[in-house]
Amino acid sequence: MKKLIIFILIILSNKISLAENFQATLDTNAILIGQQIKFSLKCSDLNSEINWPILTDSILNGIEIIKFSKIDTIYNKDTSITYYQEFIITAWDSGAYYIPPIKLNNNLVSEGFLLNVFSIDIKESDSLKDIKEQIEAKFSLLDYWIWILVLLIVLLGIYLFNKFFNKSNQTATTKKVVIKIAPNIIATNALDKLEKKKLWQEGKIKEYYSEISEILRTYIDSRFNIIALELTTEEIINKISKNISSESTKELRTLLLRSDLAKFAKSKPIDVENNESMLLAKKLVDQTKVEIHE
Amino acid sequence: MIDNINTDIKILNEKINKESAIIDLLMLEMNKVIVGQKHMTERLLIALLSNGHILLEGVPGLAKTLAISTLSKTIDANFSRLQFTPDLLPADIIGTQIYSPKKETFSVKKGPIFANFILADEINRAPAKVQSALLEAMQERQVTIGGQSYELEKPFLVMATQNPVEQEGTYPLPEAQVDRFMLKVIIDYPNKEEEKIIVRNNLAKSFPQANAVLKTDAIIKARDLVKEVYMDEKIEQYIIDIVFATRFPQEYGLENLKDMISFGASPRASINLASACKAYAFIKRRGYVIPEDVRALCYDVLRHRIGLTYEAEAENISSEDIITQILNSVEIP
Repeated sequence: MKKLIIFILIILSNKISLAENFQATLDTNAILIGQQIKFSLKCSDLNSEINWPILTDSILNGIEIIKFSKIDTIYNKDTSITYYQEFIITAWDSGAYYIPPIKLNNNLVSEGFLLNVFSIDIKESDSLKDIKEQIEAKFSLLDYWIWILVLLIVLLGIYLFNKFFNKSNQTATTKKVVIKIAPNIIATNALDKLEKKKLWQEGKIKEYYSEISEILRTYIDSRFNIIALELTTEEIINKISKNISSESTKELRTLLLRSDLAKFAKSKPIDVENNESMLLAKKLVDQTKVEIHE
Repeated sequence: MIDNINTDIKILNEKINKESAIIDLLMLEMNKVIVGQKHMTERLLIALLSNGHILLEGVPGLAKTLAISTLSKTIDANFSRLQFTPDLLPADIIGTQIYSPKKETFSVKKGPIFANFILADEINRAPAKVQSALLEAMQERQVTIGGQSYELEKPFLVMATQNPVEQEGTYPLPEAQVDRFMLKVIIDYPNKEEEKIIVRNNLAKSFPQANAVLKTDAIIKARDLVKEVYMDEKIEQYIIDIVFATRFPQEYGLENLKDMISFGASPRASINLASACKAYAFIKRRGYVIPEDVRALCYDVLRHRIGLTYEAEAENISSEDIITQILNSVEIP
C-alpha cells in the first residue's frame, strides 16, 4: 500500500511539471453566438522534439479561427525558449463544444476545455434589427461628373444657339399676320359663288342643296360656336334658337328641312323655292352677323 | 315641301302611311300593359320590322320580360319563353333525337326554339354552350338536330333580357353572340307619373291584358315595305363613317379614342344600323331615312359592338361615351 501511494505521487508530480511547460488558455468558457475570444498556446523549456499544431481555419468542427498570430519565439534569461501563439476564435452555432487536449509530444499535453456557446434570447415583442447599421455612402461630386458635363454642354449649346441663331433671326424678323375673315363674309362669298354655279338651273338640285346647307352649317359653326356640321337639323334648330330671333329660326328650319328633303328624299323643289332658298340663306347670314363698330 | 318629293318616294310615303296602321295597333295594345318605356317598345318594333334580334338590359322590375311577352301576345304567333339557368342544356333549347325501342328508330323532338317569338329570359345565366346553341338559330334562322337542318318559322325573333347588376353566377355573352343582336337596349326607370300608374294598374282588380291584333303575315308584309324605304347614298356613307370611326378613330380626329377601343363594330353593325334606320323611318311614317334616324339608333346598335380596353375601363369610359364622341365628330351629310 505504501508503495502504491508513492507511485501515484511520483506520477502526479511528473504531470504537474509537464503542465507547467505547455499551457493552452481560453478567455472564457461561455460566449454568445458569434462572439470572438482569444485562445492561446504557450510552451517553454523545450528539450525534446515537439509537433506544434498547425491550426489555420478551425480548431474543431464548429469553432472557427478568425485570426491567428505567428508562432512567437521568446528567449528567456535562463537560455530556455518559450513559444507562443494566439488565436481569435468564434462559434456560429449554439451548444457546448469540447476542445480536446492538444498534444505536442508524449510529455507535453494541454488541458481540454468546454466552451459553451449561447444564442441570443429573442422575444416576439422585439422589433427586427439589422445585423449591421446601414452604411451611408459619402456624397461626392465625382460620382456625378458625367451629368455635370452633360449639363455644361447643354448650357453651352443653348448659349451658342442664342448667340448665333437668334441674332440672325432678329435681323430678318417678319411677323406673320393672320387675317381673320368674319364668318358672314366667308358665308356670303360662298353663297355668291354657289349662285354663280347655277347648279339648280342645270338640274343638280341635290348638289345645290348639299352645298347651301354646308355653307350655312359652317357659318353657324364659326359664328355661334355650335358644332353644326355634326348635328342634325333639329339639333341645330334647338341649339341656335336661343341666339337668333324666332323669325330667323323659322326660316332656318324651312331652309334646312328643304335641304334635307332634297338630299335624302329625292325632293325637287320648284324654281321659286330654289331662288327663295338662296335669298333665305343670305338673309340669315346678314341678320345674324356680328356687327363691327369702328 | 313634301309635295316636291320624288314620285316614287311620294307613293312609298302614302303606302307607308296606310300600312303603318299596324304600328298604331301594336302600340295601342302594348301601351295597355306597358306604362311608359316608349324607347323600349319602339325598339322592340324596330327589331320586329327589320328582322333583327333584341337584347334588353336593365335592373330587375323594369318590365323587360313583360314587354316582350306582351309584344308576342299582340301578334297571333307561336311564342316560347326560355328561362335561362346554369343547368340548361343546348338540347333543352333546340331539341334532340329520341330513340324509340318499339320502332327501333330515332325521332326528332323539336325544342322550344321552334316558335316565332323567343323570349330568352336572363340569357346570361346559362353557360356559353347553351348561349352558342342560339347562334345558328339567330343568324341562319335554322337549327341542326342530328345532322339534319330544320328551318325556323317566319317571323323569327329572339328577344333576350339580361340583368347588369348581379354578376355572380352569370356568364357574360360571347362577343360573337352579342354581335348577333341587332339592338341592345338599356332600360331605365320610369318617371314618377308613370310609376304611379304602374302601381295603380297592379293593385287594380284585373291587370290589363293585351290581345292578338295582328297575324304574322302582316308583319312579313310590313317587313317587305320597310325594305323599300329609301336610303340615300349620303346616309349610307354617314353610317359607314360612323362604323369606321369605331375602328379607326384617329382617321376622324379622335386620337384620344385609339387606346380606348380594343375592337370596333363589325360590318354586321353597318347592316343592322342601316336596316334599323329603315324600320325607324317606317315607324315615323317616312319613306326615306334622314340623319336623325341614324343618330337615334346609333347607341342601341353600336353599344354592344365596341370593345373597350382596360384603359377605358380604368378611366370609366363607356361605349356610350365613345359613341357620343364619334357622333360629335363625324360630319352629317
